[in-house]
Amino acid sequence: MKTFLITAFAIALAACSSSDDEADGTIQAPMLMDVEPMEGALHLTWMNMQADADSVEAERKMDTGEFEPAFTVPGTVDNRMDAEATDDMPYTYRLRAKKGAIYSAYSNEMTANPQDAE
Amino acid sequence: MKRDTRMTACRSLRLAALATLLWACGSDEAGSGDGPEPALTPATDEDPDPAVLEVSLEARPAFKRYADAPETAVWTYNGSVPGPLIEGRVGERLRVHFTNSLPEETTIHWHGLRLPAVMDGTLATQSPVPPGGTFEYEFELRDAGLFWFHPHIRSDVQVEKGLHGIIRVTGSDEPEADEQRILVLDDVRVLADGSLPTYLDDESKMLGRQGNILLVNGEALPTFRWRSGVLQRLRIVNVANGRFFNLALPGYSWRVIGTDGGTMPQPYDTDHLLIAPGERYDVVVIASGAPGDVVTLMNDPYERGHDTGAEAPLPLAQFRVSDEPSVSGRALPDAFGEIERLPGGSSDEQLVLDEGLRDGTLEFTINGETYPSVPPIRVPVGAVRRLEVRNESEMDHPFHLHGTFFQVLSTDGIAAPMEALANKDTVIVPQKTTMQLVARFDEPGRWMYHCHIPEHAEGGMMGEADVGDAP
Repeated sequence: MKTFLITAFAIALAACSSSDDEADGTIQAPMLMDVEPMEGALHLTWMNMQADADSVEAERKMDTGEFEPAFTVPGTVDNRMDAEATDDMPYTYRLRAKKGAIYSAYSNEMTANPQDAE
Repeated sequence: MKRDTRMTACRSLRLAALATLLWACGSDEAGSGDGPEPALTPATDEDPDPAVLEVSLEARPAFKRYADAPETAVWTYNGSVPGPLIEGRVGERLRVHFTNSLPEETTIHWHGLRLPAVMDGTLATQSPVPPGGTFEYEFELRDAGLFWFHPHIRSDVQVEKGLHGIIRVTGSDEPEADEQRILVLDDVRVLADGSLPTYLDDESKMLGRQGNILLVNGEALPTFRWRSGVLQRLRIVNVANGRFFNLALPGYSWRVIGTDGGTMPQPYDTDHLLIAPGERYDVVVIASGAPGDVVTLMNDPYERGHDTGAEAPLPLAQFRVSDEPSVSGRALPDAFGEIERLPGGSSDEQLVLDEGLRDGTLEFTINGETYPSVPPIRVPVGAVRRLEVRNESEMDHPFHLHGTFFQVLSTDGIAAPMEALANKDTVIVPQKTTMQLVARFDEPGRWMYHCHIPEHAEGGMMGEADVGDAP
């Protein structure tokens, strides 16, 4: 138990350390952890690597289309249901954090179909 | 997506990391067993009349430090989280002078207590108390048991901010025990700056707010001391919004002697004690071990839907054997007085619990409607009603009924065993499961029933039983 907790503690600290990046004018991108079908839509879960971001913006790509804005949430929020993603097709997501006028790079991308079995 | 392992691993990691971040630095103090136990603050009885218990409660903002996090702005009863402990006896009259010093309106609901409807603290029977306003609650304490009180307006926010307190009502034939403790189980999500989230994210809406710090009596990982050999009685209440506690004390079995509405005729043993928000359990164990030995109270995973079952086990509290000489000869109780068994039969009402998206908004419904559009159940005063509660959703819901107790008749058509007979006011209706409950409605008025995950109740999963004269 103790080893697990220490490990988790270290991860938490690493996740929250962002001062070096801010010094050079960049901020950390979120890490997209999961996109899962839920109630006929898609639920996204991510980790915020920039603890003091103002907001997190998500972009959605339908099937083979282009990325478009999906939603924006406060920087401390780490999950969101995309109620507009309901059609039987793959949706791909990417995230980025924003602090002041600074945007992070985009996160990793993940894809899911809301009509897949939950 | 391979969501099962990834999402749950992510949730577990976030929870463990944040919890560790917040209480690891304070663990030396929390785990040493040298500090005072986190006891509840007794409310002061302001009336010398032994038949009257008169207390003052003020809902007001305050600051509290959770583990090693920066101070958190909380809402309290009389300045503390949990609020004060009101200690009464069966037959006493409780009079509460309530003052609302919050910046928004509120009420006090007396969870589990049988009382007149106008004292129940819901918007069905009472206008909310405005900021700066007062209200006098007064009623007789009719039943022995452990109860609690909390707001019944914006309860998802107000309870999470800290508004909850405990009432212990003692009867004439209390179970024997060497020591008795109340354990108030809770959790709170504290952000890095010490604040509570003001944004209700979708996961919290779906599961109910779950915290990154687990609390017992308002403290993270407290230590309790007990003497080896003593018969220890624990009165446990879950005041969390969303978290189900699945309690294990390694090396021990829980002897369950009672629940929401008092003692049970036939106590039973279990290794895990599952307590949903709003529920109470009354258990006994005989402490064992040498001085200094420690056993850790664990919260083990429980699958209540949406992959919650893969979260990591987390420690809640420690019990340390004291240096006092061991005592011997204690035995666990195996029977208590009978309680009236209410009659079974075909169901009078059907309540279908469900969840889903409607116009892009997550809703929690009863019979396809959200409160206040759920048609009320009409019940003549004194009538017995059997309620079929069918949970069509993909997660468990703790079903809570105001104003009276109920008993579980069956689950998915299988009759409840005689040894499970108990008076309940909150029960877990598991996902995709139908339970038949029976209650007698002795008090006239409008009584709420709802899921006791307040995010679900506020999201629509709430209705009323209108108890009145027969048509």
